Amino acid sequence: MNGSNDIEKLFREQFEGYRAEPSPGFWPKLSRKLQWQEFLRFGWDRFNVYYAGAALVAAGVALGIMLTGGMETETETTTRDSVRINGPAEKQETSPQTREEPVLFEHLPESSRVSVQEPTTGEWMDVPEVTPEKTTETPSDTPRRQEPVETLQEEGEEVFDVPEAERKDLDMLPPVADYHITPLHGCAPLAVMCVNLSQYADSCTWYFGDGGISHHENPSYLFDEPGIYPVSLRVMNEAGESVLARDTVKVYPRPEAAFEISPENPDLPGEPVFFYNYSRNAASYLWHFGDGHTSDAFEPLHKYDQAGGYDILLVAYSEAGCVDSALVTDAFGVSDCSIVFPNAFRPDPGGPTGGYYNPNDPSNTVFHPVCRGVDEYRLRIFNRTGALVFESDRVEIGWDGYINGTPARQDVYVWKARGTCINGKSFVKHGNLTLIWDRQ
Amino acid sequence: MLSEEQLIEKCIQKDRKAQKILFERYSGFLLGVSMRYARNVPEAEDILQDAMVKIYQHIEDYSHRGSFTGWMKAVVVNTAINHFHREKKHAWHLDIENVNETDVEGNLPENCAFTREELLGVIRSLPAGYRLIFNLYAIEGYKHREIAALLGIDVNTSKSQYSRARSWIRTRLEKLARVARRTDKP
Repeated sequence: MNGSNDIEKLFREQFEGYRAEPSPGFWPKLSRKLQWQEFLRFGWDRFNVYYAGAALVAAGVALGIMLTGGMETETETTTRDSVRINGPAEKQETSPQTREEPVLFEHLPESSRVSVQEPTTGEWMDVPEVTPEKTTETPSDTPRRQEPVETLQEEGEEVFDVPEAERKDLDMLPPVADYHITPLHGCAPLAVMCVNLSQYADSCTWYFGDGGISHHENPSYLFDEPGIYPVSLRVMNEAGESVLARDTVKVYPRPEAAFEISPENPDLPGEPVFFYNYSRNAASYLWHFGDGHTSDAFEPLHKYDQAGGYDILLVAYSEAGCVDSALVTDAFGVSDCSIVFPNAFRPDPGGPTGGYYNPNDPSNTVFHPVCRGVDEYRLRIFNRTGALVFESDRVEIGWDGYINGTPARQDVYVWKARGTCINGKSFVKHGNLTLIWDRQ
Repeated sequence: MLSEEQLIEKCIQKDRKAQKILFERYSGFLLGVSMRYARNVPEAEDILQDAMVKIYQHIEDYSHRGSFTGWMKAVVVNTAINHFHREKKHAWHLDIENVNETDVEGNLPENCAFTREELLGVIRSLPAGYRLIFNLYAIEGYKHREIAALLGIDVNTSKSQYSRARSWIRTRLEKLARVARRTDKP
């Protein structure tokens, strides 16, 4: 059983906080799927398949009515007298009014009520068609047909006894949407302040055009992707709603500054350094080479007067004035790591020197690496039989060509070096070297 | 930075931006869960996609009892189970060469650090049915009774499948350890 517990523990520990990054195309795919699902789902407040269906049906009905229009007016005139009894005739009178001026509520409460409750088109058209049947066929009617007539009668009843309290609602002014946004354009990510200047509104909804919404009155909003976004504000109170879509926010793409230095470890001073420019969405550039010189070339070539580490900065500007920069700190400095060994040396015949050497001395009497940025270090040198002849764990001490004070044979030796750099990288190197004595 | 509460609230309102934030914040963790249930990355992403759609659609059903991540994880696990039912055909298939293996009791090789990738590889090498039960029991910590109810199988089936999955895994781990010992030697 112990074994099985081990397995469970092992897996549980390893997968407790396990995270895996989804592939880059994952979110767009998911987002599309969500939008489709949203479209299929019913909701009052947004366009979806039901509205699309309703619009299609309405269009169909309207078309049908247009085609059969002449015939219908005939039946209407013949049955008009009986229609009046049921009330919808009143409605017909009011209908044009309500369509022309849906926001004026001072007069005729019945008209305003009807218009608020039944904003859909087509209902009006149906009425004259329904009522003739009603009159000719008397009470035993199909329930489907009867329904609209009933609702109309209910409304009629309501209309006559509007309580005082409700009257106040009707006197309420409809809202007027207005807003102000600053700034209207800028570089991504762009933060904008929205100020709601609407009148008579109880609640508001901001639509930012990128899928984001807000119910705050004066929201601040962050557009994190470049693009052109129409911003609209919808305000509501009990008397109705008003939508204003006036401003668009332009979010310019920010350039991306990037560059590479070639060669990475130039022989300074002297060797010219070339800068590859990998920036995107940028129109102009400014290079700071770190030694006080600058350039506005796309890919400059620069000569440094001194060796050392330089902070190199590239500033990229887009046409819209957006800025990005890329910085390489301490280029060519000690944080780089390099270690190179020669393959031959000529020891000093005068006797052992202890292996100390001057890096700039060209005499080549000590076998030592040329290196930069090395932290830990260990060099071992073996002869051809595999015996260790020299060992050093300090870069400053190389081999002077003597073994315990006696000159080593002129021969080929094998060396192996391992260690770590200041920047954390480790290295293992090996090679052979030829020891040559001066023959004078 | 939205708090979890605000984020849930906005996702209930179907705010597209909040949905994206939710995705960015939790998809890594949830993919980590679905990876264990899938044979490969595309399958894991399929499961995750279905699960994310469910999460967005039913986020208002999250009752605020227990952690939100726990709830989302449960959705992913259930989606993985549905996925398994759909692909049930191959669930209990086993290579012929592995049929005769018996459950060898014994400890795991000592001092053997397996990387997560190795363990994931082992999980993925399991037949789908074993993988599901092993995940549910060993990692998610479901009881055999619950697993039986979830998968519509007998409790004893769950137990025996689990024990076989364990034995399979142990064999694989021992093999891995042998390889590791061999390559570690200079």
